[in-house]
Amino acid sequence: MPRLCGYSLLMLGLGWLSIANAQPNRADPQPHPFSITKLDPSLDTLIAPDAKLTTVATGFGFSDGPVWVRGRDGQEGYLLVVSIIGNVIYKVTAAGKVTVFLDKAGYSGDDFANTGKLAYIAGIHMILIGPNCTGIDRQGRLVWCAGQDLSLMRLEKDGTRTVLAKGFGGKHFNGPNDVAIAADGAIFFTDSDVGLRGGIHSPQVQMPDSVWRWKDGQVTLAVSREQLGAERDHFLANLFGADGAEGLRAFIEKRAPRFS
Amino acid sequence: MKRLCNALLLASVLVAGAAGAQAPAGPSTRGDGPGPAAKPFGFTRADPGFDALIARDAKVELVAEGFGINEGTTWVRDGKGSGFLLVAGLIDNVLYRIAPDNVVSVFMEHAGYTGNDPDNVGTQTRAGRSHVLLIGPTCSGVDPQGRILWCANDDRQVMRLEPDGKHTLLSGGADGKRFNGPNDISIKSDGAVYLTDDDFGLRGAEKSSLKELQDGIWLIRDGVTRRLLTDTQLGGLPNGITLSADEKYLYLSAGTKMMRYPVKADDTLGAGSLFTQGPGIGDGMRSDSRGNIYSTGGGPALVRVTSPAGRFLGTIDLPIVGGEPKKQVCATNVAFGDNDGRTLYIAACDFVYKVRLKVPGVIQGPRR
Repeated sequence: MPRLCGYSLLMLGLGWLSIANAQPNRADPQPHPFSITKLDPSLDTLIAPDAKLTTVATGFGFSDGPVWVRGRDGQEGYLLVVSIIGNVIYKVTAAGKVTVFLDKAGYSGDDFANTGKLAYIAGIHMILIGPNCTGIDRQGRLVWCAGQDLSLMRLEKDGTRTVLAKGFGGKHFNGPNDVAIAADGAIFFTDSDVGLRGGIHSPQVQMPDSVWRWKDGQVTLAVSREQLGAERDHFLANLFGADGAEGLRAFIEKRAPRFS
Repeated sequence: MKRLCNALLLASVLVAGAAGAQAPAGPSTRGDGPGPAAKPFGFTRADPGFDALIARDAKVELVAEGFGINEGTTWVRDGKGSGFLLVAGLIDNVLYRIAPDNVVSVFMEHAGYTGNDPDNVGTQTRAGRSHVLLIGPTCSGVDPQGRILWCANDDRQVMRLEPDGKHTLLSGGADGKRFNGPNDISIKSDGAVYLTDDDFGLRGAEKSSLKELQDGIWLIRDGVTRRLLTDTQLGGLPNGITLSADEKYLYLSAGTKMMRYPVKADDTLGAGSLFTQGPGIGDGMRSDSRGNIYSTGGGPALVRVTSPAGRFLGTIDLPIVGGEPKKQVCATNVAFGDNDGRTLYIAACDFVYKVRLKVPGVIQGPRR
């Protein structure tokens, strides 16, 4: 049951925001091996029926936002994984060695008594205070969501941290949650209530959760909460993360013809 | 006991939660900054008397891991020559049961807090790098009738589990006021329960508007709860507590000092005196059958051993795991267990360890 170890990478992509901060009674889960649920035969063209799930690393408590960073100049590539409760971005090598890549990546302040979203997930009472996403832009720079700093960030080659966006029209975001980066440099990102204590009920909320687009220093609204539908924004990143920006663009064109 | 973790935070990194200060003094298994390099367990022998208790070739063995932060551990005899270990999960809000084959299961859900307002309850702190909420039980024990007692810290109550599974409120405070957070207990063979109560479990701790009583030491007996000491009289934050093997003394941690109070015939306390001070004091402690005190707290991941005469004998130094994500090793409480009482179990934040002893410890519960 001790579970700080168990979920780790397997939790990626779950719609965790929909989990209520209450204390349900729960039975001990019965252990079972991993499996693949095939709803359509074409899944076999993506994942071999005999594919194995391999543990890369454990002990994250609550991880999110993985991105593969290609190796350059003969260097080996590596995975970045954010720790939502550890407030860091970890670097994970193919061999499974874990080191801290970027510290204080979700919250850079020191008001811990009032920062972070309290949640009860996977049997742990935890405080969501870390970064929520990662992405690599066309110049190879890391882009990440500093949820509790309410900022979309970029790491420059010299190590400095650039705030790409903090809000719109003088109002701050609720907490950037995930990104999809287009070939033209546009960064689409979801903003949901991960950044504020109390979530969407926080008195600090200034704008509805929405999808935003950053390009060349300008922030524009990509999809409003109304256009998206109340529940679907939480899953947007999961739906389109794998498809990349093209899937998001198609979705936006369908739902928000004004945009394109 | 959580306090213990706390003291350690204060000493090293950030206690994070409430305080929020971040000034890592050096590599730490808790909080931000680099972690320490891995290190095996060891023993520090300060006095030749240490060898009479722990063999030179004794090993510190891993029992279970993955708890984040654990606490209040107790060996429960099953009456059939065996038993199991209870361990409190502070961030999971459960009491865990660890069987002799090291299999971990949930013994009791919602053991520290049964309410539905975790947004405003519990103490924010760190477990390794993780930001977590301490909201679980902080102690466990067995009374002379074999019933399990536990500290529902955030319900602010001392509870008892009946043979039929019912939860009985043993005490929630005195004079119409609620405890701040029952932290640890020691149970006398006549059924008297000695309790440490402190405000660490309240959100905002001593600044909490929910604090109703001064921190202190309480005696629960025959349905009556009476104050024995305030924290001012004790001289520090109450937390660790244990009766001596002969029940003539009550040992109490007062911050990083350990005090000793004679127990009078009516179970109240006489005048206290300083027993010992130094590392390994401030959290849970227990007595072996010869009256040696095994104590935890104050920061380092070790168990301090002190003779009945107050002589510092040495320490059991827990290993450091190393690597990322950080796995925090500490020491929050101990319990003697196994059939012969000669195994010392150590609640160690993410881990539970054990070490074999040459002498048995005191296991509370029915006399055998």
